[in-house]
Amino acid sequence: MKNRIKVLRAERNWSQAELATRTGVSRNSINAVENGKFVPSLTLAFAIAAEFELQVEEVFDPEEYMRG
Amino acid sequence: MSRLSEISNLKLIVLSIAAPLVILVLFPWLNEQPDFVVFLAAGLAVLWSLTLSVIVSLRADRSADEWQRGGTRLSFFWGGIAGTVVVTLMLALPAFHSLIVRVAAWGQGIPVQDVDRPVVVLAFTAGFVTVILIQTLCSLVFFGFWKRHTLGSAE
Repeated sequence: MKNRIKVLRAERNWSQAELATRTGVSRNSINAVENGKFVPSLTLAFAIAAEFELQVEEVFDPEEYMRG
Repeated sequence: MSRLSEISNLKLIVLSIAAPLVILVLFPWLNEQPDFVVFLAAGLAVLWSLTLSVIVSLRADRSADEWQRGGTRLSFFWGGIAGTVVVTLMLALPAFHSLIVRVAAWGQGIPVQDVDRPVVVLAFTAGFVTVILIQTLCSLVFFGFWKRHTLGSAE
């Protein structure tokens, strides 16, 4: 699923490891989600968005995923 | 339990593998023992390995996040299928039959030519098929639990 995690991380100068710690998952999880290779659960999507203090739809773009 | 929690998963995996290896090493000795000793030793080894495997699995699952669980699900599914296909193909190879027969001869402490080759290969194949069938049945049972646990009444 397309997302803006990389950009948002860069704006805050956060590493993948830091975001992983903040959201309580492994760095690999953040890596896979950020690269669009893994669709996160609602819980994780909300947790990531909350860390950036944004709405979920401001971080993730589900359009491509919803089209299949 | 607290002492158990201090043992790393790697050590538990090594310990779980040790039991069947011990049985393998004891083959010649077990061959001279009465049947109940053989079944008891094999049963205890299986119980030991299974118990430790379940402990490692539960620990790994508890500490895993959703990406790791997704990877585990994928690797178990495709790994299981690949393993089944590989063994099935190997069972078609005469060289693999010879290997099974040699192991059986070594376990029984008799010359290879004295082993009833078709019986040994058939027994091995039957054991393999039994494992697949029971795993399939258990998967169905657990899926039934999953459905009961997660689905509400249809409206």
